[in-house]
Amino acid sequence: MTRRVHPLTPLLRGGLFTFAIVVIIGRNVVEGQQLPQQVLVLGAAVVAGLAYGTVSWWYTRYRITADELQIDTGVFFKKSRRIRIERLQAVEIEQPLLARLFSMAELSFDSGGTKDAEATLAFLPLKQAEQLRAVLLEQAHEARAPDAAETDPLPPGPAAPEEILYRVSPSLLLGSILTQSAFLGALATVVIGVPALLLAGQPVGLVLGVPFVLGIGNALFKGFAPMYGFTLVRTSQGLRVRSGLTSIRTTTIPVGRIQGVVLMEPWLWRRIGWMRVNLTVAGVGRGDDDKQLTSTLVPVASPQLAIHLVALLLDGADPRTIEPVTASPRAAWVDPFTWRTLGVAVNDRLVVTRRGFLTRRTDVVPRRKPQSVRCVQGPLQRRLGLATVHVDLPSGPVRLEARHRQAVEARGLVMVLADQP
Amino acid sequence: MDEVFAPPGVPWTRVSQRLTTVGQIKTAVATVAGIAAGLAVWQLMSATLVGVAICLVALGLGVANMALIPRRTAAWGYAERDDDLFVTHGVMVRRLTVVPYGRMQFVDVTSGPLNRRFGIATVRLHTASADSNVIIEGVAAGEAIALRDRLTVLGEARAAGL
Repeated sequence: MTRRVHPLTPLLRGGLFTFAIVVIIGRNVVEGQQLPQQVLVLGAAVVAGLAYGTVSWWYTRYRITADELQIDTGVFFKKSRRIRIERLQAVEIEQPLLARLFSMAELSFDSGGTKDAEATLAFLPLKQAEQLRAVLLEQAHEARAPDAAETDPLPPGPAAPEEILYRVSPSLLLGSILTQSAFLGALATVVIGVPALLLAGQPVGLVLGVPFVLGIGNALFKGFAPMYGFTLVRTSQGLRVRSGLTSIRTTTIPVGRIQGVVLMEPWLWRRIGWMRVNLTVAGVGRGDDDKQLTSTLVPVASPQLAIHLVALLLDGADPRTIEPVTASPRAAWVDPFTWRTLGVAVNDRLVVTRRGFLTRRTDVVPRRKPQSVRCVQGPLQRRLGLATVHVDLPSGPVRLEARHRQAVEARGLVMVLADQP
Repeated sequence: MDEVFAPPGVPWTRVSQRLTTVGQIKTAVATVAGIAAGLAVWQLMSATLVGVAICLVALGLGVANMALIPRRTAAWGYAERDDDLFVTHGVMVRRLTVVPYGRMQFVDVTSGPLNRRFGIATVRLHTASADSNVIIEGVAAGEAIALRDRLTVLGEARAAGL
């Protein structure tokens, strides 16, 4: 049966709005404007707000069926949303201030997707919200139970329960930070720019240099402290990462939920022989700290070791074994600087793209992971007979794009990638 | 060039012509508003050059849009295959998106007052990726609901974990 949310909802939604109006009116009164007029205006605003809120409440309905949660909202712009219960990863209860006073709560539904796709239901009495949450989560759990658990491509080591795969030494970490372009740029500005300004008789140079020096210090600290002692460990539960200087953080990387991997090689690092590997992991925690830790496989490592670790995660598929096919020379018209570096390759396990002149990046995505495949063709590309193919993943560092491929090739890519093994 | 955006074996299902009508109404209103703003600036603020410029820009954009709208409507298409959905749209920037049914998380059907008057709606698909951005505009209302229900059922049947 279709239910409505609590009738107090319009009042709670409008609360902040009314408060703002009261503040504005109050200020006007203090400044000497006439009180009766202001009260009239306030009254009218409140009534209008309540009226709209009530109508919008009337048109908000929700319903739980065997498989779905159905939410219909909207007066002018009607929206009807269906959420599959078995897809629910989390149901959160939030109580904004005003709602808390009335012991009301708002439910937010997370299907492991983007923030935009989250759905909310506001407001319900707290008890009812908790009950609804319990019912939905139980239903979701039951619906998922029959499925076999995702096979973990990284089975636990046979002998030792824990095995250290890789550890970053402090000197290596320091070296890696000092050779990053952001740091070098700031350093150059201070070392070259400030003396230059001083020599030119501008003492303001010293002042201008201060934020850059602070910036360098900050970058050093921000890059160094969280990643100090970075250790990658294989445990019986999967892959664990541990790092930190002042506060040690430990996160588990759910290997089965890795959507893709990106290998980054900045210009200077290529000369030295270093590489960084980042991951896109589905449903990573929202906190910033967690996100940085779970999305870094190795902050710096030799290419051989990095590829070895990546192959471990991808169940033995080595991204270097497939040779990317470079783009057609026509791409030079639309991307003159980096067209030569563009490449894409597909086999039955992986899709790999490569691009970048100064920083070379290689994005690797297992064939069964893309959320969708897109082909985009701008007017200039159309003239040249080119198109770009995108493979879409949940938000994260991996962005797989096959840029400026020839039309026929682009079409072929889309059709091949659409068939997920 | 059109081999990139050709239908995938199954022919494209096109959207309702009423989308053109709605688009033209919106453009007409926006153009009139733009011209009115330009006139207001001209007369009330005595800024002849700016006022006339605004009028001309509004008029130009309006005319250009009017010409493009029928082509945009004709460019919308979707095709339901066994395992996935193909959607194409766009005239200047052309797009083709493929979404496997198992990846569909939410399916929304939305329609504003103007759309409802003409009996069309917008179908929106969400996956776990913000870039998927699958939209079909101008679907006849009944067909939109039917499409949504079909997609939801198929999505359930094929639901793949992340």
